[in-house]
Amino acid sequence: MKYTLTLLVLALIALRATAGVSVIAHPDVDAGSVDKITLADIYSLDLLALGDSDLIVFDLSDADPVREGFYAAIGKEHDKMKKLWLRAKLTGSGEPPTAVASLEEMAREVAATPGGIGYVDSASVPKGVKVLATFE
Amino acid sequence: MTLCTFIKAGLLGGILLAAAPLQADDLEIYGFMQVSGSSQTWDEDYGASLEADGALVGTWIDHAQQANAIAGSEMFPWQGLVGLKDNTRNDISFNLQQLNVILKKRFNRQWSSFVNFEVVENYKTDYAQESEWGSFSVQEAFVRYAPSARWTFKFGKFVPTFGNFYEIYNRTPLQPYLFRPLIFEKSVGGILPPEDYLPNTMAAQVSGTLRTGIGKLDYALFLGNSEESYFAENGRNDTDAKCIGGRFGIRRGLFKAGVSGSYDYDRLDALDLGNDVVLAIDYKVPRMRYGVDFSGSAGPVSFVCEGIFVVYDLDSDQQAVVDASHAAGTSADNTLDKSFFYAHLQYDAAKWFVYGDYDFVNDGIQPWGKDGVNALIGGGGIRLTDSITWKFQVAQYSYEVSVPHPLFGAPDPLAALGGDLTPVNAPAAGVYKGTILDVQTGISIAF
Repeated sequence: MKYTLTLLVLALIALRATAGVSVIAHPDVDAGSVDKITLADIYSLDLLALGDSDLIVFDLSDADPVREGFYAAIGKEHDKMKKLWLRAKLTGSGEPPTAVASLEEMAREVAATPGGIGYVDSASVPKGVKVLATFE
Repeated sequence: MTLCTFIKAGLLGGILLAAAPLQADDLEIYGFMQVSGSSQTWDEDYGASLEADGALVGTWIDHAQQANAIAGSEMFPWQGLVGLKDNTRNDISFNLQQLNVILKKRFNRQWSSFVNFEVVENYKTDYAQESEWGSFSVQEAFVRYAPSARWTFKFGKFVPTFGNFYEIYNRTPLQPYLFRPLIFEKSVGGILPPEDYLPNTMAAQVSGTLRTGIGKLDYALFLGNSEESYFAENGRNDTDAKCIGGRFGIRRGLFKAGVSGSYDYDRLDALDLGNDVVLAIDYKVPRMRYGVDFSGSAGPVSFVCEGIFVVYDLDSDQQAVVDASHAAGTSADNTLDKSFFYAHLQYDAAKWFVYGDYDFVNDGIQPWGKDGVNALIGGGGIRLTDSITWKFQVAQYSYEVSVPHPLFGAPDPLAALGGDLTPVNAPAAGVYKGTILDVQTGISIAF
């Protein structure tokens, strides 16, 4: 029974971990889609705008399968990104992403912020945003 | 606390108090600090401890300090034998190495300002002038205009983009070190002035990143004053000694490489070599500094290599002064050129890291410039939280020093004091080896 429960929990975790990730943006953002390399550059602070839209980047502060799935998709590790953002903050050489506490808050902020870009669970894409990319 | 340090403390406190109500108005206040304890064991064949009737009365460093050490001692009997022993000693110290408070304001998406207040060596257990307060400075104060990642402009006072480590050399949370690679370490700035190897703070810089098919191309071009020795009492550099330079680099995947360069002048009309030797080479000596850097990572392993080379363009009169210094034995070599290199290898786990370093620095005009200073460093740390890291470090520095004249040679400060004194076991002139074993532990905090 104990092993069955353990397997069930692991299966649920795996199911949650493999949920798709959608990259969302404010409807005003001047782009219809973005590729992984572009997203990696945006979160690495090497790209500050899409088209004519200056970006405001959001990131989830706490560990979450959706967050890990997003960074895995763009070929980055969150811990290394945090070091890069701390460097930008302490040297004044860039603006780290705005941290949000939950995916719900991420969705709200992206929808309400012109230039906003973030990521959510593909199963919970809110209204009022555009989807720029989806990763399984 | 002197009046000067009291004013400095009040100034920083006033700025912080004045800034606090503005926090709500998009003004960010944050910073970092590093506290440490260290044990340094010095072993210098050429140095000496002064003893009179078995009691330590001072440590010989140069002739001027030699006289002061004796004159300032209440224990010295003013007569009898003065024994000299090899300078082997151990210093244990606890220290607020560095405290930085940063004020940042973002005016809009493109414009922001950044002010970095810094205190170095805030507290020492061994007394030194102004040790209660250390050295307070406005390290950086600049306005940044970033219309895109391709074009970013900085105006004001800031650390320019030169090489790999320089941009973060005073950002302790971003580095694994307690004692940084030699030329970046402020606590030995009196021996290895960073401005001899690196461009000082600059006034204007344009930089950016170009995304290309072969990777990301980084560039930076900067302009500013030559080193601060040209500053007049009014704080202005009213000479034509200015500095231009830049860096070009490429990032591809997990690897990064770059070349840097700068051109300016070095003021060398009173170059102090210690041992009462001061060279008058010239007021303005053209100087070029070159840097190469290469870094990368593969999984948990990362590495950094960086070299900085300083080359002087001397005319015949200037070279003659340098040649004479070498011939007299006060310089190890007949060149002003300098070189610095370090290699760093690090392993990062989720909560901890370990690393090893090799540092080398050489400056031909200095008494230690024969084989330079070699350093082997090992260290590591544990990330207690996202903001707090406990660090430890063990380093051994080794070098050789040319001592041009014997201790208690001419001019003889003992004779000048008029006492009935006889030095014994005085080291002769020559080349002597020295080593320093440095063990440190400390905590780095970002707040």
